[in-house]
Amino acid sequence: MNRKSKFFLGSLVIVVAVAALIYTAARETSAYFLTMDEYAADAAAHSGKPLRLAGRVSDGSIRWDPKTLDLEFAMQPIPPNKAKGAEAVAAEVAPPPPPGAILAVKYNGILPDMFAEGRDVIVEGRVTNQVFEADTLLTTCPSKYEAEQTDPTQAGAEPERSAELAAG
Amino acid sequence: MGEIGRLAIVLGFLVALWGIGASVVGGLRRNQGLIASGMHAAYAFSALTGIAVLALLQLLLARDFNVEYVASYSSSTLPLQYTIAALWGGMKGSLLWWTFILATFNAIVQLQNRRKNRDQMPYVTATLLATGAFFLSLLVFVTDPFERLPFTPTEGSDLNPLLQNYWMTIHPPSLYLGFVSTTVPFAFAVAALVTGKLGDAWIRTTRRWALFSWFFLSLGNLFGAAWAYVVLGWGGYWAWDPVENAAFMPWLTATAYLHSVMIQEKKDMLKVWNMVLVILTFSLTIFGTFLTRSGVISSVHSFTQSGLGPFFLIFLGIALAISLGLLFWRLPLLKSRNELESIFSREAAFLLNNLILVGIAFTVFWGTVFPVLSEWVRGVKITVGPPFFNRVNAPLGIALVFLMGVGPVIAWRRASWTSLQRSFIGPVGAGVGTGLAALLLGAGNFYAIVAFSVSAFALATVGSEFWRGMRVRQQMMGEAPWTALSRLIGKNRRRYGGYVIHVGVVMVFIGIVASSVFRIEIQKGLTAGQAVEVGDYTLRFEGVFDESDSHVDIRKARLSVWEDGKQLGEVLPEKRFYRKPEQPTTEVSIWSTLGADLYVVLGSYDTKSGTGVFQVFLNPMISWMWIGGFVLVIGTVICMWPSYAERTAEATSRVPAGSRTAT
Repeated sequence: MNRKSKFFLGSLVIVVAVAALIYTAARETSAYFLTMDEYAADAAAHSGKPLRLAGRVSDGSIRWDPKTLDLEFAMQPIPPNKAKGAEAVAAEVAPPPPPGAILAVKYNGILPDMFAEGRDVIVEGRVTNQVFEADTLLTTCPSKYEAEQTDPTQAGAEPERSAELAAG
Repeated sequence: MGEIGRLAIVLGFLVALWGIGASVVGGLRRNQGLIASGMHAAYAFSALTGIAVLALLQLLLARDFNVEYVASYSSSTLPLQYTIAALWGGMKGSLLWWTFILATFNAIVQLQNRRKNRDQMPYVTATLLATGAFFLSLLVFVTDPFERLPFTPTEGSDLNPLLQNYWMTIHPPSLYLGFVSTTVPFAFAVAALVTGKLGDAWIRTTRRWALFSWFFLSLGNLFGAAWAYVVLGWGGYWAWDPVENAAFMPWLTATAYLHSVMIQEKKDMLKVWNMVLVILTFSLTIFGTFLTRSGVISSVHSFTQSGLGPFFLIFLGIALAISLGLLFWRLPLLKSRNELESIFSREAAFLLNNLILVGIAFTVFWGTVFPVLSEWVRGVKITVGPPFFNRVNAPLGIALVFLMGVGPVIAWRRASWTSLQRSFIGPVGAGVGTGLAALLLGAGNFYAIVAFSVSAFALATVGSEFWRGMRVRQQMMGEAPWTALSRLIGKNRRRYGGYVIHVGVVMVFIGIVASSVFRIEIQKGLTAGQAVEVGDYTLRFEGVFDESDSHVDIRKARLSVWEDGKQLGEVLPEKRFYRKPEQPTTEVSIWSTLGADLYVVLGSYDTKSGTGVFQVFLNPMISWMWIGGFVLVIGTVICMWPSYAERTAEATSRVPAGSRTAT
């Protein structure tokens, strides 16, 4: 074997190693990113699997115990219309969501600044016994940067952590 | 003012179009008049974008809320520095700012190359102007920063409180400097391909530019991390968010280029690879702008839904098609004159380092676009979170730092066994010793032990380089230690500056490893007088007090910090309630030492029961990251500083060149 093919082989080993790392890590850490509607369409199939779910905090559903930091709230689908800010939308009388489209969410931790009723959130975790147990709770910025606010899986809204994008 | 600004961008766009045409035709026909006209267009372009920026700034300062941009991103109570920062706080402004920086760089490039690279310059001018014209076309045709509202609001809706932060005022500009300056090496690469002058000239000309853009990309990323850490209040500094990835990817390929270009200079190898890296770095900056500017961001799936996204993709496609097409056409001229001789050589170490850097860049790219790809291929959106990036990049990062220890000392071409022994016995000892020490001190994490061990190894080889060089000078020249050291660095700025940068990068690496592996997180509700233990520290809640002004109401919690029964100081985390957007924001308070940061967040305060809920993070060695950043700055300054030889060469070349134009 000449030198050149040896180096080619060596490089190939590295490329394969990187590919293998990506493959295994992706398999073990990936999660479906769904809207509430997509989830409701096939709830049984997603039970117990890692999920990233986008929805809206239902009015009057927040229960928070500042002593234990236990949070419970209900999440409903984000209505598809509106090119308005989240505040305006929250103020609007929202039509009652169809039954069965509401999911109870449990979380333990400090409330994010922008967490409130009628806000759009993304939760990460899994569903057990019809309850979403969230490890992560991300709120989306109210329409501070861009006038158009659609659902958080779409353009315009971004998780709180990435607020940087408006300037960056 | 708005009208002047609008006129300036329209004229700027036209001037750029003329400049592109004149330069290309002039270059092909060797028409000096047209080439000069293209050059003048570049100057005019920078002046016009400058006027547009000033116009927007004036509108912001005058708080003219009739202008949509001003009303959207500022308010009458916004402090001056943030009013200026609002210039790049919104999308339109940031595009204008981008164009302005590019135009300024273009003017500088023209000045630098008045008497150099004359054959290539028309194409450099055309490439830079084309990129500038693209950005300006967005402002002229799609999203006008000087757009007026049909009515004048009495008040603007203010800059987001999250952006009203010191780091946020300096983070975007430095990132822009880094992003935009990658266009300069790209333009020279394109010009080299067009003219077929593929020798060292374009590389030598763009060496400083490449380092410049690498430097500001590094700073931009670090500033962004600092901003996230200080402002966002989740205890970390990096979340592998698409925005962050967008800035990280070009940094990786730029780092790869800075190394592989040395192989081309020394060994005349890797010419195609270097071209690819330059093209890739530029493309990734455009791709990054696309990610951040198109709204594709939080869910990378909505490619068609934003206004600007498609434009960036089209531009990216054109730029890639042209540059890669040219590269393919010139492949026969880019043959290497040498081959790798041994796996134990500096060339091999650099090649390996390049593969790993590009591998990391690919990983990040893959993870970022994965939701889009999965939706295309399988119809479902699948995301990968931080665990994906961490798991893939941890071993790659360790391998990279290991190579940082190997690269500087191993011999070119082929290292002999004895020389390997001589160079590495000490550093390997340092690495193994550190690993054992970490193990004995109870660092139970395998990755952390290996990471500290390779870090020590890398630092030891750099240290031994300085030490040996200094000893040699002391013995040969009879110099005092400090003189020897400073002359050693002064005579080889690039080399020793590079080593200093390595030290900075390793420090950042150590900070990242320690703070991610050994982090402690506690959430607790406390009433006044109660205490909580976090690692070796104890925090005692002393009470809350309120402050307020016209802009904001502030509730501060006071906690005293104790260690070994001694009070060290206090932290004052806050909750702020801004009047305008009626939004609570959290201000963290950090007790920072070299060993660890105590990062305290006030979650909420219940007045009735007097209970404050706190989230406390103990982040070990995070300050190493920021100190590493300073070291990196010092190293870069050493590298960039013109050497004595260069300065005299400049001076002598200037005289005859000047007299030539006079005749």
